[in-house]
Amino acid sequence: MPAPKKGLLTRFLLLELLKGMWLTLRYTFRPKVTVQYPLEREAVHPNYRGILRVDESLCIACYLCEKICPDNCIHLDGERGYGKGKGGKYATYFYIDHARCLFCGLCEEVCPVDSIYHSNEFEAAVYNRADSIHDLKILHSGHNIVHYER
Amino acid sequence: MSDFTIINVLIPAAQIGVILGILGLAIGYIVLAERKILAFMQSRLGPMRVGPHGLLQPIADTIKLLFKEDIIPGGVDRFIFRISPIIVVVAAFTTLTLVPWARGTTLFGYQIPGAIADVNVGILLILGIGGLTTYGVILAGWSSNSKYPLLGALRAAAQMVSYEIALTFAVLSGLMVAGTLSMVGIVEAQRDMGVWFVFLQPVAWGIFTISMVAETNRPPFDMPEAESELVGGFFTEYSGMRWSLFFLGEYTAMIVMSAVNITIFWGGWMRPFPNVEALAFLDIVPPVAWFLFKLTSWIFFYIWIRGTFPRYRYDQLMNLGWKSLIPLSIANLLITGLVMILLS
Repeated sequence: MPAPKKGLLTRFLLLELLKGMWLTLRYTFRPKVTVQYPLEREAVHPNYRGILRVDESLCIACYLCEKICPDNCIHLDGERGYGKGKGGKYATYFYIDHARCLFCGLCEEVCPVDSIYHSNEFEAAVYNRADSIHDLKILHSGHNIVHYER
Repeated sequence: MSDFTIINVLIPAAQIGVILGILGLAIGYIVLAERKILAFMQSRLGPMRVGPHGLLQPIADTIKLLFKEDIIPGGVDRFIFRISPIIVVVAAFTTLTLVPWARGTTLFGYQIPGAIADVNVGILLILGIGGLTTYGVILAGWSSNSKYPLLGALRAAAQMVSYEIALTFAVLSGLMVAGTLSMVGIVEAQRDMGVWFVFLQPVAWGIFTISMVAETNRPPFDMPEAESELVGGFFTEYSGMRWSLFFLGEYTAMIVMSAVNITIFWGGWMRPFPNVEALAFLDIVPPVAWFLFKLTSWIFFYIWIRGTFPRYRYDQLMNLGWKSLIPLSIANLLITGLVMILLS
């Protein structure tokens, strides 16, 4: 393809280069897109699938989440009883291994009582792999998230 | 103390101390300014973590570079590997002495020149000594005994030699109008004629500006470095303090080339339109401030074009140099001579 014909003046005065420089100069004074992460956090979308949480008081230990989980990262057991101030089943133990979880959201969809849900937390890094396995207490009240400030 | 000692030793020593002291800090902050401005042009923030808005970043960088391990790879030519960064830095610093920063003044009865050394062939010395940096670059690339540095060195040799021709012809056009080779003399010639030479020699100025970017290995003409092609170009094998010497040399060369541009084409330390009486109120600003303002603008220009233009391909670079700039500069030289003969 032949180069488009340019006028002598355009070529000699490097007008196109000046146009490019004008563009970068305008961008110099535009607002910046960088988010200074530990100091400022962008709000995640409400539908964001973050770290799994379980509302202990709602769970009826139906095992549906354990069954549907493609990664087998949910383990729970329950028993019938009235210890929690209500009739029916309740979970005796509940483990979710976040190191295995793929955050697909199937457990949240399948839960009949909306007990298990994805929170908006995303800072799940741990030093010890065992720390990524959350038990019922952590799942209910949230794990200790380190909010780095500097 | 005799007058001779004071004039020839003390005053230059003091000037050298002041300029080197300021320069060391200034170069660090030019690097920071470069990172910041480039970031702004790309809608980023740049360094923000060390000090408010990253203002202490240069100091942190300097400390890091000073304490870094001094690695000399196996198989290099040790002697040449060691001296080549020194050649670059010495050549760059020597040219600094010839830059006229301000109008000469009198202090305690002693004449203090604006430049450390006002030599009557100043501009030739700058071009000559500045040309020595090429040797440092070529030797660094050769002695590294590695393919990328060698390629970088070869590119440096070809590029710097070809652009030096256009650069010198452009300078020559300015010198013909000025009628002197002294850096201070060139500024005084502009004062006497009452006009900056950029208005008399716009073409020469354009050629000089393009060539000076190529001459200092700056983007878009940074073929000898070309991170994306040659890793680090001629200083791929260097690290720590030796590497930072190359950096120091490059930025000093930037400052010197900008200073030459200002001296020849932009009236040195003078205010704009030095012959217009109506603008005399601008004389409140001291000459050195005018010079530094112009210098800062040129450094910004360097950064600006780095943020704007993509790197030239190697053959395009050579085409531009040999097929456009050199013929244009020779034609400009001939026309300048012709006009001067006709006018006289």
